[in-house]
Amino acid sequence: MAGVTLDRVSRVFGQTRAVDRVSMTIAAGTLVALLGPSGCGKTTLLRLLAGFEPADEGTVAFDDRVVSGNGGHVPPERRRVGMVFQAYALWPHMTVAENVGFALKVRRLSGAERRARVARALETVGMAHLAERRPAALSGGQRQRVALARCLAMEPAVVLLDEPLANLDVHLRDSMQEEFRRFHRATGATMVYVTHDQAEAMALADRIAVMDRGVVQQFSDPATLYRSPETAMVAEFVGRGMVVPVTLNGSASADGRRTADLWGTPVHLRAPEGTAAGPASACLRQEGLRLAAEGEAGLPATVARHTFHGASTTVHLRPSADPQRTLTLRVAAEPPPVGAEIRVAVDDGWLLPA
Amino acid sequence: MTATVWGGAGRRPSGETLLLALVAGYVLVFCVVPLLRLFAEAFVLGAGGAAETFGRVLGASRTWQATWHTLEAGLGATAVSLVLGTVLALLVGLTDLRWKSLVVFLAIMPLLIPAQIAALAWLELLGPSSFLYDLVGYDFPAGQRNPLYSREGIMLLMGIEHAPMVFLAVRAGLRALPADQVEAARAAGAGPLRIIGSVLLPMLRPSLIAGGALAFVSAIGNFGVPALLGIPAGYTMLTTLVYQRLNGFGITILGQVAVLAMILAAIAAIGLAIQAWGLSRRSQAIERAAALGTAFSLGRWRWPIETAVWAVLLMIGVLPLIALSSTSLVQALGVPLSWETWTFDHYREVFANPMTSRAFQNSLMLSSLAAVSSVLVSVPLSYLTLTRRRGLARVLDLLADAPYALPGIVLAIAVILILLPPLPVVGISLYNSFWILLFAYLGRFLALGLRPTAAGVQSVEPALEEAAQLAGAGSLRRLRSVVFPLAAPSAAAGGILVFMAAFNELTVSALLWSAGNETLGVVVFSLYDGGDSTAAAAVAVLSVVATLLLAGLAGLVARFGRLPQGVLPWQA
Repeated sequence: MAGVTLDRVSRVFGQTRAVDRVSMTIAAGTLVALLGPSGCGKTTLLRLLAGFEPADEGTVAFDDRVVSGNGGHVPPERRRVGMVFQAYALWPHMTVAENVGFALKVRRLSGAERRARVARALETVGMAHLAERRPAALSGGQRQRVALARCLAMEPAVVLLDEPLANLDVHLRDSMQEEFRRFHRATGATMVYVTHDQAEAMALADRIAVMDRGVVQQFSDPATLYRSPETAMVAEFVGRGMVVPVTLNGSASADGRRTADLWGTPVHLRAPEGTAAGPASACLRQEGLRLAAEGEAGLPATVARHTFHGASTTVHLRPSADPQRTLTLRVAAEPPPVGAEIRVAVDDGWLLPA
Repeated sequence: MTATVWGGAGRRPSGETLLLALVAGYVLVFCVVPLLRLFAEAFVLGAGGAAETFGRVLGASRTWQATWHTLEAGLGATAVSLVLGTVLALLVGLTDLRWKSLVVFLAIMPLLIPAQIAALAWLELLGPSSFLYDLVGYDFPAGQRNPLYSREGIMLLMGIEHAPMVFLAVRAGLRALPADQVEAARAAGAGPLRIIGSVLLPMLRPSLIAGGALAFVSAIGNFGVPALLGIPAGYTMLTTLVYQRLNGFGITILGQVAVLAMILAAIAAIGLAIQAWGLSRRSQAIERAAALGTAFSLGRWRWPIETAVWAVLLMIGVLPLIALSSTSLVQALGVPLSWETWTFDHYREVFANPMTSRAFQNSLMLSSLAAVSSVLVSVPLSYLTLTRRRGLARVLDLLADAPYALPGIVLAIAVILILLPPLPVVGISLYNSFWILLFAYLGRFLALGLRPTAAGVQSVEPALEEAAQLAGAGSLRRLRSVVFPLAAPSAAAGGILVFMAAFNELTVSALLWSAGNETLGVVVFSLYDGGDSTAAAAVAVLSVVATLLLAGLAGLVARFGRLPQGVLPWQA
């Protein structure tokens, strides 16, 4: 397994910079998710890694071997990259074993070694008993396992996954996620996983690169991404953060947090070190907000509507200071009625770096 | 970091380039060079006498008469095709007509029956001893000529023969139309006829133009119908004029018939340009909101309309074949067919006659070779064009169409020009041999196999090829292990189409056959020409049976090979 280094890589289609000066270091054996809305460039970046797209600027290297850029381009067939396609792209005219063994056959491995490696790969994904089936006779989940085994058998430098769960129903999706985690633990493969589903990315990835309009907005572990987004786009895209205008004061509070002014109400926020006082943006999350207790200070707001979830209810609020905006919070008990004037206590928030 | 260490630079593998060169050689030799040679003959190479030959041919009144006849009969036939094809397509596409798949099959039937056999069958159907006259109690006046030996007969038969082209074009056009416009017109209170007249037909105009132009090009290139109907009537078209001149004077007047072929090619080129223009204007609405479906109910008109449709379909698709079969079973022309008088003698004669049995062998061999060869070239050519997007392959893909789109007579003359002089190195001429037929067939039928194959290659999901690429397979390996197996059913269907067309080929063979190298089409024609119409009918019936069996086989391939739509023309 190889580590992957991208150095200011760009891919330009006409006027559009589909991938715009992306730099990233993916350590060997990590599972990285490329996350972003559709059209953000994540699939183009994946195809760049596979070699289906050339790099117009910058370089891509597997370990210390440049595969794209510097005026050269290693074609996909010589990259040793495995890929799980969205619809798996299993060859319908070959059996499961033939699918898995194809790369080895191309490499002219001896029959015995080929069979042994195919068997090993199929065992890893628990599909050894279906080796002689054709893909058409497999369920969606089984096809995915075969696709994984096909990658595994070729001993790739990197495994790429192109929204492999997008075609599955919700129930299967959960068990397949588990399958990927198990596969990753068992093989220690370097994996790059494209998805537009943030929950999927959070659940699977060691590190997540959030992309927007060709640019990597943030590349960090899931917890950091969620707790400390670096841009408003990341804050809003991941976990539906609410980005609000604040004015940061110079002083720090007792727990190391900074005090700030939110629509005239003082709040305590986590902030990157050394942030200067002044106007800024903060990311609030549902679970950082609650209805203020009787007599407690808080942000005045009006209840606009409810969304009932069963165990809890989301309350949509219009802050009195800026009724164009909407804040949401969750309550487990009976929510205040629509139109009620309430106050919101801010327990946690994160100051976005300028 | 060092520059690109792994596996060298991203140049294209040389194996692919070699393959491209092979395919290019095939297309150039069989499709391009002969046609270029023909144009050169008339303009450049005519040994200084080019201008003189041109002048002589263009000065002959025969030339202009044949050209006029070609235009006249071509336009008349196109009118018949347009009316027949459009009415049937509208009825099938828009109404709740019953038994639609059978209607479609019979409407396409003329496409499967070669022109010379259709002409023969119709001659029997309307000839003096037809069962049709007994049925309606009409006494065919003794000594009266068959009414089909006339300009109108030629127009009618060619019109019926090429009506399926209009039918298919209009049907495809109807399928691409969204239902919204029709529904809007209905909501505005317009009746069915008004909707067809003022909404549908204007929107279908590109399809009508494309289908009509194709029918026209086929009609002016038709040889079987004007040969069987026109020659006895003294009505000469360009195709039959070329045939008669070459038959009468031999290859000494090759230069002159080359000029005739060029006149025909020029008229065809205009027709093809109009067809391309029509196709380019056709709306490519694939993601339509709702298909048109059966917009109109026949209601109380059901009985009259369905009766009329079946009468027409029986007339064009069934009765001629019955007449043909009955002729093949009578003891002698004029003897009425009955349970006591029928005989298999003519079939026995067919197999006893060395010429006809040789023709069966020749046609079988020629069409098998043409089919296999066309598939073997079509798959790599389609792969290089559609998947690998090689520029040269795209050009070849277009060029391969020319010998099939242009009238067969044109290609035949071109091939004679190329193969008449002794071949370099070996020093023998292929003229008057089996090989000149094969050469011409390989060029003529490549396009027929190429279109279905291309549809098959295009329908291979790109990810399947990419997955093989990541598995380390080079482009030739991917062609062999992934693309070829997946496109094989479509390619096989293309091969069957080539076989069907080549098995009954007449137009090209009529100019290229020689003693010992007859083809089935030629035999049917010359048996009839020699007055042995019962034997001609027997050979024709056998050919039709073989053709229909092959069509059935192609249908099975289509069903079980899950072919993409449009691979088989009659299932479009």
